Amino acid sequence: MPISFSKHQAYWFCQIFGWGVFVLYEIVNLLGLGFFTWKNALYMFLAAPLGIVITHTYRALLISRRVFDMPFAQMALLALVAVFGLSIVLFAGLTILTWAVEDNLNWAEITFNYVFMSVLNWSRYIFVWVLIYHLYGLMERINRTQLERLASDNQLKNVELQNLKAQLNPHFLFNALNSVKALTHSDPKRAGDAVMLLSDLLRYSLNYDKQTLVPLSDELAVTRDYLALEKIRFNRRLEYTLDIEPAAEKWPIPPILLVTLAENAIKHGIAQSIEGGFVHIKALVENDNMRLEVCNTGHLLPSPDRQGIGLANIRRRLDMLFAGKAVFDLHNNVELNTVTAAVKIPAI
Amino acid sequence: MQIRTLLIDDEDLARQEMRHLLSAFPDITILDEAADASDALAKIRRYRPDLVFLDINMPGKNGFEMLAELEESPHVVFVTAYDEFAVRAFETNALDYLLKPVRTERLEKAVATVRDAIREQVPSAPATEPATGYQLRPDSLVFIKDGEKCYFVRLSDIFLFESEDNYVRVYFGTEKPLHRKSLNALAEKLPPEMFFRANRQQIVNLNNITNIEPFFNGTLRVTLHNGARVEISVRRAGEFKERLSL
Repeated sequence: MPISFSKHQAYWFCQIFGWGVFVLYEIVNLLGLGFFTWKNALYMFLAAPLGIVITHTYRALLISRRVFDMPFAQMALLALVAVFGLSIVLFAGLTILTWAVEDNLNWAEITFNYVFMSVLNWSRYIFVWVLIYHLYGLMERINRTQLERLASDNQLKNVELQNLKAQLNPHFLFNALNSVKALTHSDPKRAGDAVMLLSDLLRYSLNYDKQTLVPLSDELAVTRDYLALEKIRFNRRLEYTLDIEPAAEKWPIPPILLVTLAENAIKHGIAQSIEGGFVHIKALVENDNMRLEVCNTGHLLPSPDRQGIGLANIRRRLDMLFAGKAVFDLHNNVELNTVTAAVKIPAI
Repeated sequence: MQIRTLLIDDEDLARQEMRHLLSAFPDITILDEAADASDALAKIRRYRPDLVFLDINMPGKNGFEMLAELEESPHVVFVTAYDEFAVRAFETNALDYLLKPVRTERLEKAVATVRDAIREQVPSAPATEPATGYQLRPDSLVFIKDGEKCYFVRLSDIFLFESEDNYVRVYFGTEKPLHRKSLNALAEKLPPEMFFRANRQQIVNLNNITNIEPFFNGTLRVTLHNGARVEISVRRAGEFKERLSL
């Protein structure tokens, strides 16, 4: 893992450099003020490695307890407690160390005031360390969540693309080809017409994703091709009509939307029924909205998962394109035995 | 020998195309066509064809569901345009299937397989059938669908039927799928020279018995080829002895 290795290196560089600067600063300070003694200097030289040990232990604790995944307030409180806790440990450790090195400790010197002021003094340095490290941890967290969001967005886009591609369903395609094959010997002229319809439909379905919106008239042309092909296949089992207001003809709609709705109508309404039925397509303009309706004989399946992906996909595309202002609705008319899919598309 | 055939598909053109393709096979006689499952069920029962070409995706019941309702299945060649689910079922169960549009070479192979299977069949005399009910013959095919698994099994290969709740567990080879029919309904249709009702729960294939021994209180215990043991109830023991001495 080359990246984590260099992170590791950077950490140790900062530790040593930081504490080195601290020692240098203190000694220059002592010299400048004329307080320099070898005892004072030793004290600082002992403080640096002890500081490193203590802060490194604290870092291990932060990592093992996943502190940077905690809510911000909780983490800030912990950092505050840590500043004083670590300062106390550092002061106590240093006192013991100097006692061990010098072998004489003046107990009279260790008053409450002395201890308090020393801890406060050390806490300035520890504060800087804790602040830097916690800020670094926070930045890492923000980066990570951003990356995760990007990854999940990307995944969503991929799924969406696959769904869009899958919309011209292969079941229809192979059945249509089979119909054409049958017609080649019984009615060659009609077979030729069917091949033209099929190639127009295929060309459209391969190219539609290049545009975000197309005029309704474009979409109607391929929907007519599609219905004409299904008419060949289902024959007397399928009746269809289109009723389009002239004002709706140029209305921009998402490509393949109407074909998908027509395909759903055939799949659930006509193919599932022995006697067959009808498909009515209607488009009209009302109050700055275009209302597009696909109505077919049949009834909605009670299980919600059966009519899932295709329709959810339509909803999502509409939401993305019209910022929630387009309305999609699917309803059942039990008395008439019809299902109507209706889309209200706002003007752009 | 003529192969009496029925075409089942909900699309007119698909049936027309199949008819056209089959016109190249002189030994295939198309009896009739059916456009949905209930039509198909009635026509299969009426004509008792040797072979059906069966489209899987039909309105109402699909092809599998339709077959599972039959007491006896003809030879079946499945046909589908594109159905991942059905194709997986064909593959896992080694069923013969054709994809639309159908290639002539694939059709030739499928028909050849059916020809061989029919040739192996023992010719039976249809005149011996009783007027009432639908009698199965020892070489009748039965289609069983238990969840994802499908089987075409010859009746004579079945050694034991056992009732389980309202259905029947069918034992043959190393398989024991659950058949969605009742034991009583099945019992009436089985050829009596081959199958014997041993007790309320079980029907045994008499050709599969390897050992008979007296058991408690006048019952008998028989052992089958695979080692399974079946008890013949007191009520049935008398008839059982009679049948075996014949």
